[in-house]
Amino acid sequence: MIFNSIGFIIFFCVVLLLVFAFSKSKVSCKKTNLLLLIASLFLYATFDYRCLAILVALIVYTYLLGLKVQSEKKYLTIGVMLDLFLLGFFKYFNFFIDSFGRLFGVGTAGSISIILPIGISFYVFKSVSYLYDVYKNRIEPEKDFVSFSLYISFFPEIVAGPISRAGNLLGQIKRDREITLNNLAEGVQVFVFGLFKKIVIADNISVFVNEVYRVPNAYSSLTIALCVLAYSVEIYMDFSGYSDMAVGCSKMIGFDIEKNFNLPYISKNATEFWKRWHITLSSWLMDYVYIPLGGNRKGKQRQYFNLLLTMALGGLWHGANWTYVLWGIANGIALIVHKMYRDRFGKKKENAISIIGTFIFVSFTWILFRADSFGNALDVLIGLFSFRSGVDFISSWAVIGTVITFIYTVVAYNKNDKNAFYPIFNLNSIWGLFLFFVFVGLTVGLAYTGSNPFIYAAF
Amino acid sequence: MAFIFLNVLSFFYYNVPSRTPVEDGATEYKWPSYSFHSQATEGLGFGRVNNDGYNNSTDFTKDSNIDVLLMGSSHFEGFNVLKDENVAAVLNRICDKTVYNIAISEHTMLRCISNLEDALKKYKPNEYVVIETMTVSFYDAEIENALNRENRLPTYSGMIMDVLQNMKYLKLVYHQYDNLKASSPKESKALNNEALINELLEKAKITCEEYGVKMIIVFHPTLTYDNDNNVHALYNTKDERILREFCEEKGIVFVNMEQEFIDCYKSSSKLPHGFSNTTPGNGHLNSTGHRLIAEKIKEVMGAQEK
Repeated sequence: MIFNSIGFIIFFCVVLLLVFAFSKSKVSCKKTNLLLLIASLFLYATFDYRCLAILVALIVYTYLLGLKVQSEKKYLTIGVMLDLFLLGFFKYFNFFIDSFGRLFGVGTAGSISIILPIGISFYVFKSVSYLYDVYKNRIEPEKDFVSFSLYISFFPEIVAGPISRAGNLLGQIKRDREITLNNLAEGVQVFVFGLFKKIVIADNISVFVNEVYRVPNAYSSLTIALCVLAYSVEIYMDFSGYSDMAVGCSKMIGFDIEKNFNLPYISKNATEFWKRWHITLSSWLMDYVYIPLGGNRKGKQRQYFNLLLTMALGGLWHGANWTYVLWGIANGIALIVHKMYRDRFGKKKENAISIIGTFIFVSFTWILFRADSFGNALDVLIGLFSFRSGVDFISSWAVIGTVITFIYTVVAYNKNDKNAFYPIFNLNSIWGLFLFFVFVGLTVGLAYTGSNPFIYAAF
Repeated sequence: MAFIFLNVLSFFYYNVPSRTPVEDGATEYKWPSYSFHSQATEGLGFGRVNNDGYNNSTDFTKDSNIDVLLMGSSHFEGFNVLKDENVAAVLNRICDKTVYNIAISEHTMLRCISNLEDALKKYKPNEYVVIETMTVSFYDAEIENALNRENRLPTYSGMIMDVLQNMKYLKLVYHQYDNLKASSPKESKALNNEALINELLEKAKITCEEYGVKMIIVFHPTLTYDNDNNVHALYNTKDERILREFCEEKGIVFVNMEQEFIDCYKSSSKLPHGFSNTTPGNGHLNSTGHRLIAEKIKEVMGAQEK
């Protein structure tokens, strides 16, 4: 059950009613957590009941190792190795077999049929960060199994993040939480805002983008250029829309989880972009890959290598395809170039040209991210720069989506000090209620009604 | 208040009139006279239907002198394009015959042939009846329904239905729900019982002879293209051959638009189906598709008269 499904809406309404009833009846937060845990595991099982066993296994071994990890480093090593094994086997086994086979010309006889558990990349990262934070004494090991299980399997986050840190989410899990009308009002609006971004803008644009990427050689350069721009909008709306839905759901049941996107396309350089795009992933990579590798503490050359490796791994995390790795490397190179530039010329006042330049660079790298293969990416790039004629397709939704994103970005930039905001109406007023229901109505009426999963759910 | 506002928006964004019963049987339903329609979910079209409840620029009267009667589904109906872009409007401009369009949504070729006698009785075209189809493959059950005039399309009447049908936003939501159901994979069709389609076409032939008109069936397949720019139409070639051969035997002109569509794609990279707010190449006929079909019909009629 993904967020934008009727099944999920029904499921969430039931959970919300029960949580609300528990809250009003002053039921202990332990019992409420147990309810949320059952709901989370149930939701996960609806994707594929076989994957539930994998999630439960991870919860159990991470919990047990977490109790011991402060005493000996070997428990951290075992935990991380188990996590990487799970991720490596389910997500990358066939990828490495295929790559090895192609490199040495030995075919792909070793590849096997493996299910990819949904959200595995996200909950494995939560497990790693928990064990590491306990090892480093940043947090105490969680003794309550239900609380810990809920932290790993928390249903608003399980499919596609955000990757919450134990210090933040576990703290909220163990606290008494009140369901207030204010939380409900705000949460539902944030949810609808995210839903609009996903099912109206992202999904409608995806029809155009998917078609152009399917047969790029059929399309004119103008169409391909629009497609490249449109995909930048699509992936932003899709992923930030999902994150907003996760924030909204969490808010309604009494949790505040991290925002994952903060106007990434106003970034003036690659460094800033990675502080505004998929914030929980980039901070995870910094804290658990880049800094343990040495960060910037071992000289410039080592710093650049660490950046490149971290971003390459970040690319690989997104999917079992060399295009993702190359996408990560391209971003790593951009980060290195920015650091070199800053070291040489100092922190200069960057301007609109920096924003446009960074956006263009990011849009180009999205070509690698979206393409099925290097050949596909090359076809798109050649199509873009060959100024050729072909099928001209100026997608209305690509234009509409771009304009809406631009307007929202400009408003947020000016009204909210260059930070993203949620348009929250005052539901106590007639005008606020009117606007909210019009927004819900538009979301339903304009939604794309073909099949379109979340982009990041595939990771 | 919000609901009223959404209804106003839907009036312009997606406004399909309510179906009313047809006494003469020429079609299985029609729109209310002079009702307004608009369509921006797929393509862009708006306007009023005529007094007769069909998408024509001119009214129908008992004295109307029709040369060519168009029958078909939403493709020929042309709600997705502007009024002067549909097949009937283009044909009326480019040929010296009076063309009248009673194409209306969900009227497949089978339904049109089933209703043919009533349509010819009412409209009395002088020369041709043109029926459009996007497929050459049919289930046996569909053909049997057409032969027996069963499983007719529903119409809506009664106070509650009238009220609901006039709530444009509810119709939009229902349209979304319909699309959601339709997006699940469907079984592909194939012609199993050739005798059935032969029987239906024979019935059409006899009816046309009785009314002194020539029948033209226009088949407009969807084009598909690959990354090497190879383009071809998507259909079951065996079913197409069967249909074409039966038509030839019975003196029905069968037109397959595949070559015209491919030539247009190769010369101008334009596709006959699809719109800027959907997908290129898929869905209803766009203005290019309507124009190509109108030109082909004119050509075919000219060849018939030589």
